[in-house]
Amino acid sequence: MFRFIAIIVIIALIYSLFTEFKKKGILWNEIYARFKEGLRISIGHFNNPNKNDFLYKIRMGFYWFTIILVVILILTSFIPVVILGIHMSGILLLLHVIAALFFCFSFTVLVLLTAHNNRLLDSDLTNIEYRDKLYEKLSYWGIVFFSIPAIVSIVLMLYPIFGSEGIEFLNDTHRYSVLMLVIAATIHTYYMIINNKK
Amino acid sequence: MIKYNLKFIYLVLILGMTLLIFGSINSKQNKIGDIRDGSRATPIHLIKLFDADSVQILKNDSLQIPLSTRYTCGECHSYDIINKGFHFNYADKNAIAGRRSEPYIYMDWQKLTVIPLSYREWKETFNPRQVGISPMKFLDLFGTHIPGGGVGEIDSLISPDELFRMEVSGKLEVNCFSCHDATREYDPAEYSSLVQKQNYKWSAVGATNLAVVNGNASKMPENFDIYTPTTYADIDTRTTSPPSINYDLTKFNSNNMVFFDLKRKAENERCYFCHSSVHADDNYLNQWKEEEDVHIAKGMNCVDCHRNGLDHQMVRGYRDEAADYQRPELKSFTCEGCHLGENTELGKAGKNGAPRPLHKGLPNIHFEKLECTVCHSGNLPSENVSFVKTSRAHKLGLHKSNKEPELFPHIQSTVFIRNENGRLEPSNIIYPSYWGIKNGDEIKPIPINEFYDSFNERIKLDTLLNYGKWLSINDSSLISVLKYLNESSGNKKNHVFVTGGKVFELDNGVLESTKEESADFYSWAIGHNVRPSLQSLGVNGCDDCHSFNSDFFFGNVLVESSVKSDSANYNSMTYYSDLNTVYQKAFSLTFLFRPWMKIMIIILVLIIIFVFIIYVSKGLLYVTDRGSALSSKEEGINNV
Repeated sequence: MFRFIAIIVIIALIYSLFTEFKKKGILWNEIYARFKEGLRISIGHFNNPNKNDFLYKIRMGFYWFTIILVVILILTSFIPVVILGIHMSGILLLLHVIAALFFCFSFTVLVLLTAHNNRLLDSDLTNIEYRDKLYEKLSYWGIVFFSIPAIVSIVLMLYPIFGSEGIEFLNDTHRYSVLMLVIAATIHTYYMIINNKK
Repeated sequence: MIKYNLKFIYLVLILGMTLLIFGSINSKQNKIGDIRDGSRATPIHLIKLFDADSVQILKNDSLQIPLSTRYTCGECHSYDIINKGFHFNYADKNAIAGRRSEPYIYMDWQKLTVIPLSYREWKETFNPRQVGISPMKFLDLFGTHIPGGGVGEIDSLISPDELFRMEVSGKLEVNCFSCHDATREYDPAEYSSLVQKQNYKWSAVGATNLAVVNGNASKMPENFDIYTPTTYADIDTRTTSPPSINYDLTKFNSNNMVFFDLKRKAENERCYFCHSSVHADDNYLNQWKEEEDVHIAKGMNCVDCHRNGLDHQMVRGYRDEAADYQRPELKSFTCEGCHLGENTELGKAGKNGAPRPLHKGLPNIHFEKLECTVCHSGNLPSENVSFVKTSRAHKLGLHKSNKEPELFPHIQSTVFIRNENGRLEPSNIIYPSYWGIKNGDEIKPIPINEFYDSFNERIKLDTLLNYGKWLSINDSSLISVLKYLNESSGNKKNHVFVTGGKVFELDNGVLESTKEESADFYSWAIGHNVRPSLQSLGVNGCDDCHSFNSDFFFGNVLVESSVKSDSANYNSMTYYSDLNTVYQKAFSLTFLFRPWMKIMIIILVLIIIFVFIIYVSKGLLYVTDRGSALSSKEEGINNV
C-alpha cells in the first residue's frame, strides 16, 4: 500500500515540478549548478566573499550538509522499499542508519539557526505579493513537524517496548511521515527557488 | 414372455454387477479401521493374527510363523494406502521429495568415505544405487532405523540378485508397532537387531512383548526353507540357528485372538528412537542439564504437530510444505500457522494453545530474513560449532551402541544456512568424503563394491591410533592411491578424492585441489529442540547476534578434510549464511554506539519539538491577537 502511494506521490511531485518550472522559465541547469555550489558550501567552500558572517556560514554549511544527507536517506530507503518493494537491508541499511544519525544532528542545528527566519510575519498574511514567501515558511514548518514523528517512531523502535504489530505501526508512521516530509521539503524547495528568482 | 423375462434377468444381472463393483471398491477404500465412528475412546485391538500367506496363526500351530502386519493390521486398515506414507515411501520415485532432510550416511572410515545417500534424490545426496548399495545392503546398513516398507517390501524395488535372500528373510513389512505400540515392553532395539540379522519378517513381532525371535536369517543358505529342515542341516547350530519365533501363548485367548495395546497417536518415545539427536558438548554426559523441547515440556506430543491421516503423510511443519505437497491446509501446521496465523477455512491459529509471541523490539525484517527456528531451535551459537550425534547416523539406541561423543560420521550443528527462500535456518551439515571418478564437471563416487582389496593397504591408515577421530591421509599416500586407481582403469578414468569441499586429483602426477560446488557440504534444516522465548537467541538484546565477535555471524565451522595438509580449516558462519563478513563486522560496529546514538537522538528530537512548540505557540498567539485586534479594529502587531 505504502509503495503504491509513495510511487504516485513521487510521480506527482516530479510532474508538478517539471510543469511549474517550465511555466516559470526556471532551467534545470540552474538548479543543478546551485546544487553543485551547495555541495562545495557543505564542505566549507564559500564563493561569496561578502558573506563572511560566521552564523551564515554555519547555516549554509549545515543546510547543504542536511540536503546531502536527505538525498542519501531517500536513495537508501526509497530504492529498496519503494522501487524494489523489499525491506531495507545490507549496505543500504548501513548507510541509512549512519546518515540518519548525522541528519538528526545537522537538521536540529539547522532548525535552531533558521526557525527565527521562518517565523510568520504580518506581511506574509496581509500582502498578497508575499504569498509565495508564506508558502515557503509554512512548508518549512511542515518539514519540522513531520520530522518529529519520523525520528520519534524510529527511536521508539530501538527500544523493546512494542511488539511486532506496534513495530509495524511505528514503521508505517516513519514511512508516511517521511513521505509527508519529502512533500513538504519539495514544496519548500520549490518556493525557495521561486522566491530567490524574484 | 420369455423375451420379457430375459430383459428382467439382464437388468438384475447388470444391477448386481454394478453393486458388486461399487461394493468392492467401497470396501477397498473403507476398511473398518479406516474411518472413525466419532468416539474419542481408543478402540481395543483384540485381533486375530495372520501370517504372510494370510493364514490365521493359531496358538496350537506346531510350527509358529511370524505375523504379517500386511494381513494382521491390514485386516482392518488399508495397508496399501498406509505403506505409501512418508516413512515408507523413501524409495518411491513418484513420491514427492519435499524439503531435504537427514540423509542416510554411508561411512567407511577405513576408506575415508562419508557419503550422504537418499533415494529421494535430494540435491547433493547420492542414490544408493549409484554407489553400489543394493536394497538388502541398504537395509543392512540403515534398516535399524527404518520402520519397514520401502526397499524391504516393494517387489519392484527388490534386486533380482537378492531374490533368494529375500525369500529367506521375508519382506520387511511396515512395522506398525514401531509407532503405535503403547506398551513399555516394545523394544525398538530388538527390532533393529532382528533387521541386522536379516530376520525381516520376524522383526516387527519380535520387538513386541508377544513373541521372542531367535536365529539369524543372514547366516542361512539361500535355499533355506523353514518347513524343510534339510535345507539348513549343515548349519552349525552352536554358533547360529535358523530364525524361529516363540509366541507367548498366554496372550492368546480361547478364540486365538491377541490383545495389542495400541495407540493411534504415537508416543514420543516411539519417535525418539529414530529422531533423537545429542550434541557432543558439555552436557553430553549430563543429561539432567539438558532442556526439553518447549512443546514437549508443556505436555505436547510429537504427533500433535506432526500429524497424519490414514495415508500416513506426516506433517513435517516447514514453511513450503503446503506448496511442495500441494496441500494448502498444511500452512496452519507451521510455526507461523499456530503462533501467528489467522483463523481461515484451511486452519486455525492457536492450535494446542499456541501463544501469540510479542517479539518486543524486534524489527520486522527479521521475520523476512530468518526462519523462526533460527532464534528458537537448535543449540545456541558457540565459538566453535559442535558435533551432533543423531539416531540414524550414529545408530543410537541399539544394543551395545558406541557412546563416544565424537563418533563418526561428524555432523556439525548448529550452522545457520540460507535456504531457497533466502532465509537463514539452523541446520546440520556434513562434509562428504569419497573416492570418485570425474567426467567433465560430474563426479560420481566409486561404487563401494568396486573397491579393491589392496586399497586399504595403500591408504596406510593407522586406524588403531586414530580410532574415534577423523582420519586423514598424507599427500604422498593420496598421490599413490590416485595413481593406483588411474592405472587400474588403464588410465582411462580420472579418479579423484573429494573431501573438505575440495576435489583432489592428479595433473601429470602432481596433486591438485580445487573447490567445487559438487564437493561442498550437505545440510539439512533442523526444527528441534524448540526453546522458549526466554532462551531464544536475541533475548539479551541485539548484541546476541549483532556484536563484533558474535558467534551467530562469526562462529567457526570446521571444514573437515581427510587430507592431512588440508585439515584444520575453519569457515566463518557468514560463509554458510551467504553474508559478507566485512559488512557484518561494520554493521555490528553500529550497535556499539547505538546506546549513545539513542540518547543523542532523543536530545536532538526534544530540541526540535521545543523549537516547534515555541514558534507554533507564537503563531497561535499571533492568530488570537490578530483576531482580537480585527474585532476591536485595532492595528495588528507587526511581528509574531
